[in-house]
Amino acid sequence: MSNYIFADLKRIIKRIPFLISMLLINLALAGVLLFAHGSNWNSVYFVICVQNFSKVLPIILGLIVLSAVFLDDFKAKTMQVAIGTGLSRGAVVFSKLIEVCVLTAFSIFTIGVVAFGMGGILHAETIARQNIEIIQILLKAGSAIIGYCSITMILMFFTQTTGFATLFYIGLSAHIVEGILEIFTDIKYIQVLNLKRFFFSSLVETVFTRMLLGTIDVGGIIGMIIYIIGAAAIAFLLFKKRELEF
Amino acid sequence: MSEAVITLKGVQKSYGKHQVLRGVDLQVNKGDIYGLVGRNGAGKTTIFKIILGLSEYQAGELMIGSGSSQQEIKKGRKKIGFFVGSNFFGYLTGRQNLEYYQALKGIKDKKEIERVLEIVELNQVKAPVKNYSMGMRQRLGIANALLGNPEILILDEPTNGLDPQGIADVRALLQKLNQEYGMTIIVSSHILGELQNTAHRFGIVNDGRIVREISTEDLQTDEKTVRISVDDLERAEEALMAAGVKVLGKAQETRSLEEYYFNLVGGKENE
Repeated sequence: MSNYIFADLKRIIKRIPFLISMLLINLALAGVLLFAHGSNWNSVYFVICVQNFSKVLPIILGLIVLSAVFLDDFKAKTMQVAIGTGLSRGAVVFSKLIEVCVLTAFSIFTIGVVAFGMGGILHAETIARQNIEIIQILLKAGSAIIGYCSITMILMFFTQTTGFATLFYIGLSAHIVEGILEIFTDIKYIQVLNLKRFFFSSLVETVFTRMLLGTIDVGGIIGMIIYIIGAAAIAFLLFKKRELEF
Repeated sequence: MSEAVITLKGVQKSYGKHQVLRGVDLQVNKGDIYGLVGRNGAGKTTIFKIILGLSEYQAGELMIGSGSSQQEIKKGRKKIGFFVGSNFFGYLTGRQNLEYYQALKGIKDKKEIERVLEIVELNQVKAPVKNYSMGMRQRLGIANALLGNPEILILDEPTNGLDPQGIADVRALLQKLNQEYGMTIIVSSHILGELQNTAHRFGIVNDGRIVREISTEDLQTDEKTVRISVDDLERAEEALMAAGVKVLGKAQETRSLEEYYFNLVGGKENE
């Protein structure tokens, strides 16, 4: 399993579109901060700018990660070769989840470096609490990406294609899927159950809001982990019996 | 008798109501070049998918080596190199693709990639795989199958899309791998003539079953055939019959298209 993860990550970092996308997203952040730097510039405004930028990360960065980890594999059917060499299907699914986590962490780290770097260059003069807030903002975006990718894996491994799954990811990260689910959760007799608080995005929001206030929402964190691992487990169960074509 | 390396006993496989394999019995022995022959849709690729774990079967038994347990089969699959299609990342070069698979298989020897690329004559090619011809992709696929010097090689229609020279090269390569390296090879094709020139034993697949397993010896007949060149066929036949030799058949010989082609353009038929 470690061989597979290592080999996959090594070939992903050779992918020019991935490297260019990462460069562009970091340049975009730098550009946004430069543009925002003006007469009203201060540490609070700087944090707000980073926060606003982070709202697009689940969609844009998430698509970059999803594409890098899954697109070429499904297109070239290289997973079949991996399974043929003795790797189990479970190992393939969970390896992909780990790759999503590693790539997301790496991407968020680089964005963090750019954010703090630009903050230093532009004299944002943030205090410790604001620095922690920025880190939490980025961790929140990263957690959302990992969760949405994991849920999308269910469709991906079941259908063995990426097209529909990519659209589903966009729907998830743009809260369209949850918007549709709210139609049902807002029905009069279901509303009392307050099921919206169990949506993944709600859990992420709650966990990181409470973290900002200085408390750890253990239940929320467990819920997020259940979503991520549970979705991967469902993806594996559906993939297990799937006929694979060459 | 050689030990069996892959055995299928009564293997059945269905896709919904459509039964693809109806009780396949097959045994490949160590050192064989085993040809799986059958028309398109007979079940050849499905048999390979079952051996490689890409498809499950509903009944029967699969053994790799002497083991049929999940652990033993998983261990046995590590000894198999296979080519079942061109599964490469188009944006990477051939070498980079093999580096990927080398890392995946946990092969540490860096010279291994150079070795297999030399065997298939792709060591000078620098272009990404998306620019490869069909024949080059087939050769790269064979190179990938050879990574790690497997004991067993499974090749699904390896000569598809190859020109006559390419087909002859693959045939010579397989024979060399078998004779010099002792590799057991299972190769499928729907081109009977090509398989006859390559394999020692054959499994004839029809309607989801191995209807017969034969060897090259089984293809020989009791007839004794000599080839003589004469200027008058009728007189030659009369002379033989007068001498008490029964002439069972006669035909005006023609060269094979392959012989004609190689004589015309040059190149190696069998080295």
